[in-house]
Amino acid sequence: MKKQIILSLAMFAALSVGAHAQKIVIKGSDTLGAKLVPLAAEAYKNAGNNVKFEIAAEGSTTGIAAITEGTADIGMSSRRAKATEVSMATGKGVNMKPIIVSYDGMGVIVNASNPITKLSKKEVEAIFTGDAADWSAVGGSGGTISIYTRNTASGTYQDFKDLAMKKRDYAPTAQKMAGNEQIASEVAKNKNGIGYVGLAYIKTPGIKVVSIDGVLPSKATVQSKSYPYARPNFFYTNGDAQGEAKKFIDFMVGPKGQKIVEEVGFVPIN
Amino acid sequence: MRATAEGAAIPLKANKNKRKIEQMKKMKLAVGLMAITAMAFSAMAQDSGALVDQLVKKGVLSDQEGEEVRAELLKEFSKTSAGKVNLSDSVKSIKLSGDLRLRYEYRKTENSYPVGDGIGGSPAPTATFNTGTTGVGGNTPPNAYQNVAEQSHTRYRLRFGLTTKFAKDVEFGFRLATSGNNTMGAAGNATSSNMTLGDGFMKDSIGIETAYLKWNAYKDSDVKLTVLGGKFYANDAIYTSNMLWDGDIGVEGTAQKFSWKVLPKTELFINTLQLVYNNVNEMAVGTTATDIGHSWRVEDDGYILGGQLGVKHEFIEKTLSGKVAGGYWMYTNEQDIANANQSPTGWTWNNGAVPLRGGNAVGSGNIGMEFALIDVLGEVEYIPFKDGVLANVPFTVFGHYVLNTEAGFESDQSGRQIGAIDGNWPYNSVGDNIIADENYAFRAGMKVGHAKKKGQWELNGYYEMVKSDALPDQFNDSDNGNGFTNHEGITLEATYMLQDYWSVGVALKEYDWLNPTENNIIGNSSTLTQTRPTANNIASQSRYIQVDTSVKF
Repeated sequence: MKKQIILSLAMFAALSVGAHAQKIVIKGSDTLGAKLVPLAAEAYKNAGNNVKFEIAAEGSTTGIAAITEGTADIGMSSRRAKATEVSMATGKGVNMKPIIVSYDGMGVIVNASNPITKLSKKEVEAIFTGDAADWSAVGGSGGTISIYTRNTASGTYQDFKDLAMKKRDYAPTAQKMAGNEQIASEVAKNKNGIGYVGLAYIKTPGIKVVSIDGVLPSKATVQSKSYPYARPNFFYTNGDAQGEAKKFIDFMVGPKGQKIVEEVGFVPIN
Repeated sequence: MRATAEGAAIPLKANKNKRKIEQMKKMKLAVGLMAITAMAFSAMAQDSGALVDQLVKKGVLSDQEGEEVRAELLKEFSKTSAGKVNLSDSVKSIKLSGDLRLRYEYRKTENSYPVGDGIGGSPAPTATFNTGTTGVGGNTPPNAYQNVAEQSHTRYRLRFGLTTKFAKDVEFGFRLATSGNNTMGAAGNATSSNMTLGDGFMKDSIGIETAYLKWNAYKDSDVKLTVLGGKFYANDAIYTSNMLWDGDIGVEGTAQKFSWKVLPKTELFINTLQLVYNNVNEMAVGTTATDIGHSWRVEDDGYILGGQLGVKHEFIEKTLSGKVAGGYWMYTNEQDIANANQSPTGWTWNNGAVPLRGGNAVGSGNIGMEFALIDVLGEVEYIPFKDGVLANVPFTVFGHYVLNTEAGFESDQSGRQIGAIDGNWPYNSVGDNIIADENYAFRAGMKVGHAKKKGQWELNGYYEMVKSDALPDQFNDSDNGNGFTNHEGITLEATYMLQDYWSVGVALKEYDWLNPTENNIIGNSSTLTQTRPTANNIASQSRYIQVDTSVKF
């Protein structure tokens, strides 16, 4: 009898643990974490996976740091890890592994009333570095250019510098915004505004996207790599992901996950 | 429960395929890595991004595989020392440099003091010898006196610098050097970073020798404009020699360098300079009731303002070339600086003002000389041989002439500008005659060779005469004539490069005092706050022998 009670208690305990949902902690990029990953997480749960998600979208830098510190299972990043970040991770025995989950094109946006419809790469560099401070310098109708950028923790902030500005510094007058939505919103309000947002945000009312050297950002131009400001988005893990994190990553890069990628406005990996 | 042959075959096949795919994937990654390693053997791993892109573009690697290769390379790179450095993206390059020089130095300085030299007056002059003895005085010295000081010591100089280049041709740099806290070197000595060994193993200090911002404001194939600001070597800003500016001195202020290639082999250059040699606290002067209105009120800081115009010309390509320049350098507010150094009764100025000195700066240490210099210097380089032992060895003759157009004027403690110097004590009476021929300095010499790379050598020799009031003795070479003015003699130097980074050298500096009645006391001028050239303190000769070995990176 005593043996049966102990056995029953043990089984109950085991069942209780089994019934308790596992948690996947995901931290990092606002580009990925604002819409795409939460939607994918919901879809993953709806697919019958008993798992909880904790998602914090505070910039790619925080995502990479979270993997190094071991405070997240998955780090979201819209940029590649830097050498110093990898160095720090390696020093702590962390094997920083990138997984491409989507592509994105950083669309250069201006106010809908701005007559500018196209810019060259040189003009974009001149505008964002402050070399060209007035719209007339790039063929516009005049007016001091207001620049809106992401904040420094953002991978997009860094990627745009790398891809569009030859790694030069932003103009001192550039205003730093928390996310894509804020940039789109500010540019929509300011007729002299210019900024950059992910593909998912280029249809925000009040703004328009300009072509760069004659190429507009789209699924086709990003996939063909003809759009100059295209980049992959990453999940970072410590070595090969395990357990639920691995299953979620597989889901993300699989057909269902990639369908969500497309629905949200990003470019799928295939 | 045995699996059927068919049932077992399916998973086996699947496993086999999976292994095959894995193997192929690994092989592709290995090929990618090998290709990158081969192609970028000498390049840093992080620069291989373009190669990875190409491999992805050509289909050798998929995007994901490309990322894995990139991550692997980055991981390897991150293990190197360069990978651990976190630099701002705006930095284009960083260069670290430095050197360590070990020196044995022998110095002999002779003072002679003849009986009844006839120089006297009231108050009676006193002498301070290198031994610290004080008190020989009187109108007629009673006995002949000779003081021979011999010193030998080992010294070292350590310097470490960093130069950072940013986009837009902006450069920032600094150089640290050993400085002070040593028995033989005053803290912050402007003209020497040598530290003498043998001070009870005291820890030595590091000072900032240069800290500057350089902006290449304009640059095309013919025209260049560079602006410098902060603390920088004088010879980085102007064409000069260490007769006027010691090579170790970090002057402070701003400078502009302009050059224009007017003909294919002819370049004009203009260098301008604005230095602050003495910052005084103008507001603190005369702020009490007793001080306001006094003639020692300090009006302004001490500046050195000037410029030079020069030309470089190549007469015969890679064989004969020359360079010549003329400049005017105005030293301002010498009177104020001299006055500011005064401490009237009950008042401490404490403003750091140091009067400029020449050999005739007399009085109680608060007299400032006046300077407005015209200088002309030049050099001609000739490479006579293209073969043989002397192949491509340059022979260079050079010269430098300085004229102080305000020589003889000095400012006394009551704020008067006086023409004071006639060799008689006391010197500060109004109406004294200016010693007209104490106002110039020149150097002429020859250099053979060019010690830059392993096996190269250089011989350098010159004659130098620096009259008492020709130039300020705080800023000139700290070794020639003990670092004072009022000397003539020769310097001979030989240098040989054992390696690209390692040199050995020897130097002899033999100088006589030009006018014994205007001598300074034994010691290094830059360590003294007073340079009263007492009549009975006659140093007739100084000899330096220096043996050096230096390593640099």
